[in-house]
Amino acid sequence: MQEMSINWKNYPSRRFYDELIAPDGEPRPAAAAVAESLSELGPKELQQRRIAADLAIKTMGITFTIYSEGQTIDRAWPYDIIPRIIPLSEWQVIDRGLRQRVQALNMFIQDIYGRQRIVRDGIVPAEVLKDSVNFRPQCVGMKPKHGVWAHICGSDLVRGGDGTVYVLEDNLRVPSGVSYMLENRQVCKRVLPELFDRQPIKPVDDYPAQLYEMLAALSPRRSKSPTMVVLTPGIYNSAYFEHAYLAQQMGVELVEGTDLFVDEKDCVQMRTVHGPEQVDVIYRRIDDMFLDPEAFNPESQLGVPGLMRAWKAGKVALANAPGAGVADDKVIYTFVPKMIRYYLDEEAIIPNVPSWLCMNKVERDHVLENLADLVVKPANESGGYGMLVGPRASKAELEKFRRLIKRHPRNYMAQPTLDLSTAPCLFGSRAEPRHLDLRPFILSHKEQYVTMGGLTRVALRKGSLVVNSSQGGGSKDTWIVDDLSQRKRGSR
Amino acid sequence: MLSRVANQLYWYGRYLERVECTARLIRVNANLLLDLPREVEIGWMPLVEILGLDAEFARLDQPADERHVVRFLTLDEKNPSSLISCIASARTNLRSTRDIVARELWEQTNQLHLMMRDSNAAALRQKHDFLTRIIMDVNTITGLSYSVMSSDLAFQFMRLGANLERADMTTRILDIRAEDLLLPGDSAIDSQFDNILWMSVLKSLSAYQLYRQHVRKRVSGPDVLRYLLQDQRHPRSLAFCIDRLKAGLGRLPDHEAPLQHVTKLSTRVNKAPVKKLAGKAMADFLDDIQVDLHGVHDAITQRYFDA
Repeated sequence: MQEMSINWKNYPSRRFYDELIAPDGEPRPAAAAVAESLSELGPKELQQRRIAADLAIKTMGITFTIYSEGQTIDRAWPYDIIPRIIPLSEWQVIDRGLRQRVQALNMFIQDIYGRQRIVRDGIVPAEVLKDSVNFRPQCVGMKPKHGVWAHICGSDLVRGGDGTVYVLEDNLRVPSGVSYMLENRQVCKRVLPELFDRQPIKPVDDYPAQLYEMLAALSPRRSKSPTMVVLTPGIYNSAYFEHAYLAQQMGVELVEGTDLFVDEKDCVQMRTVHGPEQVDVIYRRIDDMFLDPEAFNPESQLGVPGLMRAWKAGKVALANAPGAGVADDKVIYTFVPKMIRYYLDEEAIIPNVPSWLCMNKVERDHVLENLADLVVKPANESGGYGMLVGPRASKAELEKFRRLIKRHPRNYMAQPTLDLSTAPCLFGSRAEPRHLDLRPFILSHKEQYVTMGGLTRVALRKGSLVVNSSQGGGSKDTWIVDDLSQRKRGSR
Repeated sequence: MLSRVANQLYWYGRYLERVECTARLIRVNANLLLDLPREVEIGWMPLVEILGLDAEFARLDQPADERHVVRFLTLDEKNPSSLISCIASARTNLRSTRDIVARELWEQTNQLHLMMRDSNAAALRQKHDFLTRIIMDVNTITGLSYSVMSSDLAFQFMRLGANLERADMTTRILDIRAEDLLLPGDSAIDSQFDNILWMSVLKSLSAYQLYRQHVRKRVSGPDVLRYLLQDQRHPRSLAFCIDRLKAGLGRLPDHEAPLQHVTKLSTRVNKAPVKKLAGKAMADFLDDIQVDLHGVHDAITQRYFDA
């Protein structure tokens, strides 16, 4: 069969909500220009562009690391050349919703390590906190600058079958992926430059500058140029590429735990060839438990002894603050809409995915009765570990989770299996729908900043919902297309 | 600059230089042996001795023939000083400094590493091409470092490592060969081959052509030694390497202690009556230099890396 140009009329867009193509096969308005350009390119040209993208990723050295058979392997970052498109009018609502959500989350964390009003007022039950593995007693009584704990947040958004955008989870510990968002745009500009001529696309590349500004604002010393570092667990970490990338983009040092020490005045010093240099702000990409062997896991080789002491003495700023993870518990997640009402007296702009808490008897009974139709998540795991996907689980797995839920109801919550939205991905010269999600990044200090779009991750295997790059996931450039000024100006 | 990063770049420089020197040594030795009659038993063991790997090699309990020694020095991953190990170490050192070195340097180093990992005994059958490719790759990296890195601390530490390693290698080569060649009454080598052997010493330091141009005499032991120890222009002569070390240290902060060591070494090398040193005196002289070079390394480590 001869390879054909993409004909969107033949693209299956009816089964799930498709981000680019409406059920009738017509491109959605914001995607019209791109859809047209892609079908004009023709099959040969499309394949050439895909090869060009692969080459660009290889020469730019965009990799992620996997650990396998005792070796670390750098894999080329998987990328699909068709951009994912969101109209600005819709994005502005999401943007507001994310700001609202992160503001409430930060107020919650501050409250939890302070007077715990929200518990006393009966909004969040005390046992939820008591059993939270991410609650750090060491942080009680602390008040970081502006009351902000989660300076960098990555919230995962998904769109359901009816087109509603939900928050699936909030990552408040060490969210990663932003470097790939930035690199995806670089690749897209190299490979499909003509698409950028046809409509106004919001730029994404000021993130490193915004991150720098935000971190600088945290400095405890009054200085025009504070000394800041990115603290990495080292080259074996799967996100090492990103740690190096962000350090390079911000022009700050990338340090490992052994590069730092805490002196007798509780100041953090970095070992340099000029001698010790005091560090003001640490963007740490190490989990709480490994930050400081004195305060947390004494076995940790990654951290800096005395770091918590320095932080509590106000001599150094840590982003994110230790203990911020208390709010990215899957059970705490279910309370976020209530938090927004409680602290901000507003309704949540972006809804949560409907969830059942196994700690409440009525909800637990519902979960146990409908286990085969639900997704069950443990409270404190990330990266999709320890999950039950009911419709795909074996009888034995269902039984196992039934027992687990009964034994530790606090540890589990359940959600319906979502009909995740799709977007076209290129296979050969054919476009096929694949499921995707979106991770925008929100920076908070005195002010807030939300990335223009975020990192779109896509499950490249047919029918799969798993978007993780280590498990066959890919990514797309994410465009916020200005449909508002376009409308004002009329069509170009 | 972080002490750790400085240390890693310094070792990156050392490892790469070690790779080039080792590759050159093997290439020249292979050529040399083709020129010598079978009864001249120079063989391959001197290379193992030059690189100070006697104990490691002995542990393998293998004959010191071409096949085994060359494999040991090139593709043996258990030998920490083999080409494949040095390249892997260089790569590891660079990998965690990726945020400050130019991308191109990383890509070249990574490619060289992948090429080595994919090489096998077949590559060694085309020894000359294989080694030449490695030498060229290392020089591509060095050339890149000159053309894409600013002359900052990162660059200085890399060059410092490379120059120290090069000085060390030159001394080691002279040490072993001088022992063979200058000890009177060594019956293993007929004096008619002296000339060829000294030529090979020059060639292993890629100094033969320049020696001809600059010394303009027939190749003789004392002249070669003087040239390789004291010539101010040849990039692999000891005096030149030391001069580069001095200049490099001069650009680093608080360099007094390590610079003192280099100055002492420089005086020792430049003032030595090289042509009069023979036999044991030469061996002692070269040993003293080795001790001094260790002193320089220790002083650099203490001053910049162990902060």
